[in-house]
Amino acid sequence: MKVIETRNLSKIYNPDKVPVHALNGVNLAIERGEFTAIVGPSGSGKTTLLNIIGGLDNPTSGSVVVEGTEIAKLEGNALINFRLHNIGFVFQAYNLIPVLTAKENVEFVMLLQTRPKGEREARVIALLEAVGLSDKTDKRPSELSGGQQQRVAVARALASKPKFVLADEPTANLDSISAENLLDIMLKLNQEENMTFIFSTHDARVIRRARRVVTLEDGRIKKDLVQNEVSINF
Amino acid sequence: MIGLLAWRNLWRNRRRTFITVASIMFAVVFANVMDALLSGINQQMTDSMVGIYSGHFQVQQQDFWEDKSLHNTFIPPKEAAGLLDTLPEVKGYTKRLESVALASAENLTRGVLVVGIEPDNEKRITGLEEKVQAGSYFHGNPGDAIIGKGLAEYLDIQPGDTLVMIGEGYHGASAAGKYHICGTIRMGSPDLDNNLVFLTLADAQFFFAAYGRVTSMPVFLKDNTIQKEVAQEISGVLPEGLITQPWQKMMPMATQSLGLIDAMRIIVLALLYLLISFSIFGTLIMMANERLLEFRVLLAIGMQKTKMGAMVLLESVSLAILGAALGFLASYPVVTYLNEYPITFKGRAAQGWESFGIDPVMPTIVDFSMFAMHSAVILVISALLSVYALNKIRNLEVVPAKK
Repeated sequence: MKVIETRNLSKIYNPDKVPVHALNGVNLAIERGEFTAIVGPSGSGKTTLLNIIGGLDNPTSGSVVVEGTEIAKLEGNALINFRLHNIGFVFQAYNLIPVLTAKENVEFVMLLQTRPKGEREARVIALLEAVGLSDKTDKRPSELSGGQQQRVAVARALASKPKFVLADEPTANLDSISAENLLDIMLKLNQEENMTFIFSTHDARVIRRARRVVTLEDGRIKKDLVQNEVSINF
Repeated sequence: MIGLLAWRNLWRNRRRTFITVASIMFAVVFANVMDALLSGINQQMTDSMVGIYSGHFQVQQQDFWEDKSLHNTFIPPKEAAGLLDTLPEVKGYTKRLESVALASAENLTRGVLVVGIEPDNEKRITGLEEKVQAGSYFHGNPGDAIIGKGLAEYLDIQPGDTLVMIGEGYHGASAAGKYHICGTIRMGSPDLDNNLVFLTLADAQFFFAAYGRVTSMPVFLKDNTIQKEVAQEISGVLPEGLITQPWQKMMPMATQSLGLIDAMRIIVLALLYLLISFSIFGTLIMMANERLLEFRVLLAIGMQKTKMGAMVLLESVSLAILGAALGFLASYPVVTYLNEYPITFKGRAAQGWESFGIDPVMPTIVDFSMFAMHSAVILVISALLSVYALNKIRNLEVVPAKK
């Protein structure tokens, strides 16, 4: 079942001055439960693609359909609510709320969703346990290592029970052990909860463990390989 | 959660929050103390000028103020007196007969203002007895007179001596009399002190042959703010030809002086509010700009802009409430102390105040509505200044938050 489908997606920055074609007619379909890496050199359009899929930016032309909803047509609070209920985000710089504890950061999106207290508390405990941080629930981001913060960010992304998680270079700021740990957790959640993960990366460790790797170059899909092909071609 | 976030955001940069709260607090203290002092001076001047002599308004013959002659006297209407006796807002009222005459002692003569008064009423309402400097106040002896200190010095007479007066009475009758000086008085105003002669009302009516007649009925109120209402009520029962004359019209210079103090008060407060505004605005600019990335993240993960705006508004209003509350707590004892123990002028400064008939003290007014007003203004300022941060949020684009 398709979770995301992009149709002839294009994005041009500075169309009136010096046009930069970040995306050129990208057609991509993501099935439920995929663990997909978007790779490519800097400037190839990885982040732009994730931004548009996540409803954070608008395409110049083409469309993104998430389970039947064309997100470019959503505006204002409708778009914000769509993101809240359908998409989980993991950022390169973690971007946790500094004044909230790990537990509160994870709970925050569920509060925005106005979920009942009992459900929130149970899910926070489950998610922090799943990312191996059940002993750090009351720590603020400044009291956690980079790897721990990114694991909280993953827990936060999953807290809203999204249809998929977008992660923009999630291991870029992590040391190798933390990066491996994070990948283990993401894969585990992918397998156990059938959660769809799409992430951009340069990291060979991440690429090796992805089941599908989409390579972008100059805003176009150059390669789109599944697991067995990945090991042969990378 | 918004409340919790706002509260914790306030304390993420404790030093900045402390500086902002402290600056609001000191500004509120200055605003409260300054307002209490200037309002106190205003009140003091009003009370001095109104309470000592003119009253808050006077019942007069309608032409008296333009032509202060004995022809514009009247017989006090019983209806007005009856109503004044029943109104709880009225501290008291009295009757006076004023006109001019020549006063002589030995071979010296001076034109004087003769004022016939009701000694007991004046003593009770205006505290006139306390201004007697030498000799004594009226003790019911016919033919007694109290004269201004300056007049006594000019005529070189003192209590126990005799004063002779001559003038024109009601309807052109001759006015002449010989009076026993029972005391000298200091009113504070040099004009009055050099020219004033107090007689009892009965003696003055006899002297001017204006039997039963008065030139004014000064009315003294417990509270200056209800002057118009009471005057209006009294006007309703006055016979034709009589009016109520407000003290502001009888003392235009004093009214202007009070207006000047009030203008000064407003300017000082405006400057203080400006100071507070810059302090809060500086904090809000820093808070908004250093958290733009965080706002973008919040927007990306699904927090609506209205909720973010509410959070920022709550933060700035909380700062203002905290500063205003501390400002109130710090200023209340100062204002109360200065009310109990007012700043008192001495030497030439004191003489200057006294020359205007005003006690040389600066008491404060302890008025909770004033404190509440300043707090409310600061809250409104904070809310208005939050528009900057709210506008930042309104125009926020989420894309840069992706990295």
